[in-house]
Amino acid sequence: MRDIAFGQYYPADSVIHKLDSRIKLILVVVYVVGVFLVNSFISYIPVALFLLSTILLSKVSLIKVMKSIKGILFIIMFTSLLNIFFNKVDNVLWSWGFLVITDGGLKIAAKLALRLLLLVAGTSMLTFTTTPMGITDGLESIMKPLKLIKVPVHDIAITMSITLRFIPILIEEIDKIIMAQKARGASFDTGGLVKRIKAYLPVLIPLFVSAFRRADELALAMDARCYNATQNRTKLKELKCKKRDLIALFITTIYLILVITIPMFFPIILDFFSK
Amino acid sequence: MSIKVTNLSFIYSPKTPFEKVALDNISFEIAEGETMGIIGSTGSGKSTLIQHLNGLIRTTKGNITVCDIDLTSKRPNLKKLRSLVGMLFQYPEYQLFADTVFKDVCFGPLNFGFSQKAAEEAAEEALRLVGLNFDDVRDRSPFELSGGEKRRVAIAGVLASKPKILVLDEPTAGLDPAGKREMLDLIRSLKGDSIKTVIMISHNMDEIAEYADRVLVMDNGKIIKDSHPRALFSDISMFKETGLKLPHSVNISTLLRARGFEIGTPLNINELLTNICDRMEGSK
Repeated sequence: MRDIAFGQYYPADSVIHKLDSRIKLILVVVYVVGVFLVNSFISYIPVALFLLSTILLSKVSLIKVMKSIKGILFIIMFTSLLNIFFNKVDNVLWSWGFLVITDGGLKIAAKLALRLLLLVAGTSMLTFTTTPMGITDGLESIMKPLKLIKVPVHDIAITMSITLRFIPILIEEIDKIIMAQKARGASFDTGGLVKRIKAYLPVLIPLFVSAFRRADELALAMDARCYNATQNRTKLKELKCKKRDLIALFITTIYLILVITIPMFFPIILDFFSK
Repeated sequence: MSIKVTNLSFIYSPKTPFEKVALDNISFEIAEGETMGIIGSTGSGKSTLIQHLNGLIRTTKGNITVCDIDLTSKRPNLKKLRSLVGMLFQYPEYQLFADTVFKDVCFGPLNFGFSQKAAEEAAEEALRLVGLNFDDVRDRSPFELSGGEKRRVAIAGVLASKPKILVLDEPTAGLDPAGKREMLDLIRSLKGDSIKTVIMISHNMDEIAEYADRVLVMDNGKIIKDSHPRALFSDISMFKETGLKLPHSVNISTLLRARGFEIGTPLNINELLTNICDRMEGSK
């Protein structure tokens, strides 16, 4: 359970880590928009370059990023396979009974696989380089205007940060309970599907009991210290936009422009070189 | 029923920024019949070490043999190992899950291949052994019991599988003084007939001094001392270095020694009193 790479913070001293979390959130949104705007293979070049330079700048090890992709590799392969066989466009390359592969289908599948890969790798860069607290602080700050229409922004933010904070605790708890039940002879990797699901009951029940107990204790502790979300609370770490944040915004804007314009310019450039 | 550990090392999350050496080249042996205490500050590797003894953590470097089962072999017989080594974790009451106490205690023996009848007999025996009123608790939900009762049920759940070696991770944590005493007396009474060897982690030096007949001291993943409690607590310098506490009886004898009143190293209150009385009578 400890080895889930997606959504884990990776501590390092880098420019990307130091960026204002609000800016990072915006950058991720822009990046994702860019990925969805891509409609030809050539536009993947700026996306891939942008991602690669972010990874290199952030000093997060490539292996770690690969691991975050590993988790969804199955989904990527599954969707690509479906796309290969269900898109019947252009020339037929191979057919066997009802299974037909066309070159158009291959292209669509490849684009989709690339899109998913870049999406997951890109968004996991946010969680690799930003602490959960940073993400919620950033979200709270971005959502501030919603306060005008009486959205409980701070409540949402504190709920989110508590949730994020509890994920590692609960993972640890699961590990402990699994060990305790294994010590009592439980086995989780034998038998059919139903048997395996049943085998997890002795883990799930204590887990829920303890999650409710923890939630109850936390609520009491917050109450006992008069926690109040409605007043204007001050922060230990105030978010401040610095020069590097503006530079990052600038670079990202260029990235988005490139993604949109490259398919238009590329034929012209090709023409220029072929002359 | 002996345990042999040689050159055991273990690293958590190797090759990441979270890398942590939990065990660093550890070797020791426990013979049948011993009561071994393990002490050390938090994060010194005690829990990691005992989880190895049950095959809950697979050995990555070094060798462990428990009751002639080689844990480094490719497919050790984990079922047999775990039925031989009963493991009681910290706050074991949090692993209870069944809707009745009786079913929860039967869980272990049924997993280890006891027949339904044998498992029920073992469960009843275990519940009586830990001092619960069997007819009173058997059909109650484990979640409506008191803290002390829950812990007894959890222990019964381990004992019901009839282990030969009992490993306990801070069995008295979170109990009131009377509960602590009862727990330790229970552990002491269990040892003998079916349970041959007891390994106990504790932060409470009074418990270790009184109940263990051998003590391992761990610090930063290493064993820095392996000796009889009396020899261990006679050498106070190590405790000053590691920040570990001394048993109250040893503290008192040290204070007395500083004032020129030598009474040796008493390991519990009774010994302390006897030694003081002897000494005073002797000096008359």
